[in-house]
Amino acid sequence: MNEQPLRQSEGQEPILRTVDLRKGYTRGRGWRGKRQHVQSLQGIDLQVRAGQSLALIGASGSGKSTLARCLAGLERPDSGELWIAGRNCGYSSHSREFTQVHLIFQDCGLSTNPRFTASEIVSEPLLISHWGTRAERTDRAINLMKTVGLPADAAGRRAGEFSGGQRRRLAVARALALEPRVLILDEALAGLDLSTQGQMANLLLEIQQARALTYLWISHDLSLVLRLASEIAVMDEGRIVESASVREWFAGPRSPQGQDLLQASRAWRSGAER
Amino acid sequence: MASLLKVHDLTVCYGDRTERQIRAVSGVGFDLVEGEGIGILGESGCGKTSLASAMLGLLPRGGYVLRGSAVFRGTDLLTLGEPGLQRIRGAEISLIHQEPALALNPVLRVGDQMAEILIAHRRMNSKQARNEAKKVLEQVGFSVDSNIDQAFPHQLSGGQKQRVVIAQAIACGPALVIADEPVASLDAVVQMEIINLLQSLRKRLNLALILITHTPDILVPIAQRILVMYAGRIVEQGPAHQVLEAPLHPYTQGLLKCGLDLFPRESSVRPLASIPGEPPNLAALPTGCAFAPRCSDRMEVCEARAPIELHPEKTRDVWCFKYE
Repeated sequence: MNEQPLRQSEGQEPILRTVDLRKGYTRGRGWRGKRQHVQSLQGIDLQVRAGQSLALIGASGSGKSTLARCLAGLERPDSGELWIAGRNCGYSSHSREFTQVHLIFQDCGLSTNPRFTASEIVSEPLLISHWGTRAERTDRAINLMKTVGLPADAAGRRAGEFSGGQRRRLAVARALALEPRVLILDEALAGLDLSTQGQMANLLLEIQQARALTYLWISHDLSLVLRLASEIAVMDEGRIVESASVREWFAGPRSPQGQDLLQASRAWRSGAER
Repeated sequence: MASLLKVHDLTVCYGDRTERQIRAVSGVGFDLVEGEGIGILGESGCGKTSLASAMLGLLPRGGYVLRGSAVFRGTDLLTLGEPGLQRIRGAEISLIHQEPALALNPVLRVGDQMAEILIAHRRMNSKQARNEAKKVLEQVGFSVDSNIDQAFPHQLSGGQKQRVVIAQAIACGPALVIADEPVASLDAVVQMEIINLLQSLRKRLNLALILITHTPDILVPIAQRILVMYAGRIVEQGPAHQVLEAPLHPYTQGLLKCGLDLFPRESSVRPLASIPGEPPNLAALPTGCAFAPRCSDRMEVCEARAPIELHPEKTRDVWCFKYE
């Protein structure tokens, strides 16, 4: 691990900072018969301050999820720097700093082991990082499950016995286990019923306040972004093309990609009022 | 207009025929005329998908139709049996699933899996079928020179896959397409494209369309009528604009309140609206109205007996004691 000295005061240093981050994938033969190299991230410079709530939006394939995976240490960037809480994480995805960043996927139901009970699912990150004894871990898991509003008898049930909304709650509890400072929510509210989505969003906002978390929302749903985030960054073809405060942005996006996104979504929804 | 589908008192159960029986759909009935678009709205687990699967004989193992009928052009689909259903499925009624990736065969080229359907239903030879497949793919918005029929599903984006699935659904010129959450996994821009495509196909081909969803927004361009389901029952039905603008049932009201607009105003920020509680356990439904435990307008009678059909307005049905 690259042991850089902590940079001055914590409050000033952004909790996440990337400098010219690049990442590409090579795909096999396309149906048009050639090898494709997809440059997903083409130099991302991003700064997220602690406690901020940043939304990352953009069309499918604009590199949002790749960025999220790089930030969470699941994907190794090709070049560029990634700083978490003032430390350079270099290119090692085993860097200890990545415990401070947790990624919640859209399909959290699929990312749980069906043979684990709920408390095992939640306490697994603790086990992996050798935290406490078994009893302590289970205790902590049950506490976390209470925090996210799961019923008391849920601890012994298996993942398959939970409804979609409850599974998301479980994923949030698991994400909180190592007390990360940043949660990256990759479409974490997509595919839920409207009512459940509202419940989950409120829960996440409460947790953010209680634990002073930094949120990075990745979403297609602009109406949710409007309510959940304070800042917005628009991605297109691996670059951040615009960043602004949410209110400014909704009043009038400056980038053509942002205008397209907002227009498409508004045209769509205003039909409902007609 | 001619009636196309008449569903009456359809009841679908899962599990044991005696105990622990789960009623996913109970006593659902509706009519559909040719070329009509209806929307079925409700939270997950309220029986929307079971309803669609039951009509096509596609219920998963353990599921069965307890009673009721679904008469399509004079034949009852529920008593038809597998050989008869096979002739209807894909030819006269097609189903579009939520997850296009799962509906496509990953090892077949798009053109080939389109051709399969045409060979099975229209008795074409493989060359005719392939040419026809190309034509249908054009109809769903692929350009002729895209060579999309040579692609494998994994080479396509989510929106493209869903277009291919739609092309498969309309290939044999069906009279009815059932779309089960057709856009749930797509982004807003692509969602709009797909919904507009469905709407234009409906008009052009005079398709009847049943659109099953939990997001009211996507019903706007397509549905003329909306049925709202809760815990396996229809709780409200009526013309689409009336249901969306002035919902009668407290459940519909709650659901629509959770929808969000895109214009920042002070009142529209946090916390977000939601209906308290969760949908009921279908194995242990309350005696009275299933929505009563979550309802803000609950009365004593709601818990005592099941609500009956009421007509506060001529064209609208609602199952709620508020309107008695």
